[in-house]
Amino acid sequence: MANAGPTSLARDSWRRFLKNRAATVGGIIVLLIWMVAIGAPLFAPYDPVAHLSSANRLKPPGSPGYLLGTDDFGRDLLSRLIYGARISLQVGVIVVFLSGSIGVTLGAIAGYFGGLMDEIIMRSVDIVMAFPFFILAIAIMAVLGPSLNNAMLALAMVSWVGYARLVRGQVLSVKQKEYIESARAAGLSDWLIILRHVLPNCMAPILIQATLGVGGAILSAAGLSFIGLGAQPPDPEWGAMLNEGREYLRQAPYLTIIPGTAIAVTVLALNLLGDGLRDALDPRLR
Amino acid sequence: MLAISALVFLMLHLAPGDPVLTILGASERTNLDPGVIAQVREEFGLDQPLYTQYYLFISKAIRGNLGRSFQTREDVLEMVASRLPATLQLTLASMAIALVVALPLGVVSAVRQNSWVDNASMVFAAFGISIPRFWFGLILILVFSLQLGLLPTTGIGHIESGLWDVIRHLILPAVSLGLSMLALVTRMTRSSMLEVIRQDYIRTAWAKGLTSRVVIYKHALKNSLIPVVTVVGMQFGGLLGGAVVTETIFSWPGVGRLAVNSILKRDFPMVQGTTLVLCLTFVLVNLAVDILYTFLDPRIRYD
Repeated sequence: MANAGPTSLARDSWRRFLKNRAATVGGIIVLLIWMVAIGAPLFAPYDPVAHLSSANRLKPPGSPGYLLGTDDFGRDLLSRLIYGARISLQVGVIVVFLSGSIGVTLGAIAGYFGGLMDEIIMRSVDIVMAFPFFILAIAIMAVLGPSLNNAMLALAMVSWVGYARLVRGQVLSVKQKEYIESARAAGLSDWLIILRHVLPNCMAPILIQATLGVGGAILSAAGLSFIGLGAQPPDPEWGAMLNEGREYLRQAPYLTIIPGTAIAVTVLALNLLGDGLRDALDPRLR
Repeated sequence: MLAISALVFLMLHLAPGDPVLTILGASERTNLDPGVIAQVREEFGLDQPLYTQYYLFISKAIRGNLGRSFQTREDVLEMVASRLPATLQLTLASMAIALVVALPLGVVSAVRQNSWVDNASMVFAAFGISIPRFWFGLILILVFSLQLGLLPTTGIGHIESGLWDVIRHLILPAVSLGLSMLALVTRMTRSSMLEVIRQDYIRTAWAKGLTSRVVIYKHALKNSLIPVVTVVGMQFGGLLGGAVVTETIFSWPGVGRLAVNSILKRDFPMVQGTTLVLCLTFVLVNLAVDILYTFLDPRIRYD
């Protein structure tokens, strides 16, 4: 059983992932969007928030100097789209990081220690899950006030429960394993066991949920911005751009079509990547 | 519901800012008469300690009194109740469209696994999950209202103007809202059917010489429906949440639009009322789902 080590498991998963064409395409698109987001100042031809001039208002795509046209303030749509990629990916990653950190920590505590802690944490999960996701997010936005940072916080506050449930289930199964018993027998503290032995063995489903969660967070944040509760003008967040563009749906439909396509392509690529990771890391879930 | 009400109440009452300013439509306290401030506090019960306020709120809520709007001073429950039918009309129509399309599509995909129908429906499902509902709504308006002029852009139909008026106003918002449920239910029906059609009793049904219609729809589909019904119940929450945005796009006079407007005006009693009513609807739908389980699988019993 020389090949049974973790390296070969990773290699097997990688091979399975590469065989999945949809997932590979999704991964490449995500990588490209990341590169565009990171290099936004290099790729964007204009300042995304500076008003150019009233003469440049609502120029259609393909106009000289403006590949994707301009908006009602004469701002270059391509530049706003590129900087929007940066904002949307940031939102996705920050929401997943925050909700994942809260959910994984609480789920691990609930699953590993059980008892009263488990009861308190899981009943809190039940309460949050009794709310329709988006309704709770907008109720929290009512308290925090409209802004992109608050939208991220609100989304993290409602989406941690998914991670908590997932991790608790995983921990309940992992903690029964013999290597955990031997770690305990070796005198390791509970926290060290959780960090070194329990959580690393729960990483695959967490990673899958996180990848799918980035797409979900981008969609939800765009939805909040669209109704005026998330990013505020002149931030070039894709949902906020859609909100601004809808007033010109008849006159300049590209202001709606282009940012929406960007959201759909990004979320689709993230979903394909997430599905591919799920199939590669845990073929039983296929 | 008690826990939900407590959470919503606490959240909104611990929000920064003085609600009296919102009620009086002022931005600063300095310009206001202290007598007027005290009067408003008393009128809305804001001079009481928080636990008393919650007790008064919950005891009134049980009797159907959710307080009055900070903005319009209208009765919150009356306002929400007058808009609830529109939201239910929209969400139920979306669910109906989603199920009517998704169930046959999922079944055909499973039965003809890896065929072009299966591949096409899975690509469609992948797009359906990824496309923002609100954007899809705008694209529908662009194509079917502005370009083709077939359907109205916004508003709700009235039965006095005929059933067609109701339906034609409902089509675009319901399709846009139902898209992601349609995609998820298609996926779930397919995977659940794939699992069931590999079972021994399905093989036995084929071996008995039953028609494919009986095997697939009577034996396989019914046994595949439990996970599908679970997803539908959970997704109903998604529909209620999505309705907030869809109602805004289509100027649909529902609870969701009322909720957004109340948030933007910081009208907390109205936010509280809309949130509670939408949560109660979600809880009731999930209760209905639990009851439905017992019809689908008589082995399930709730003691």
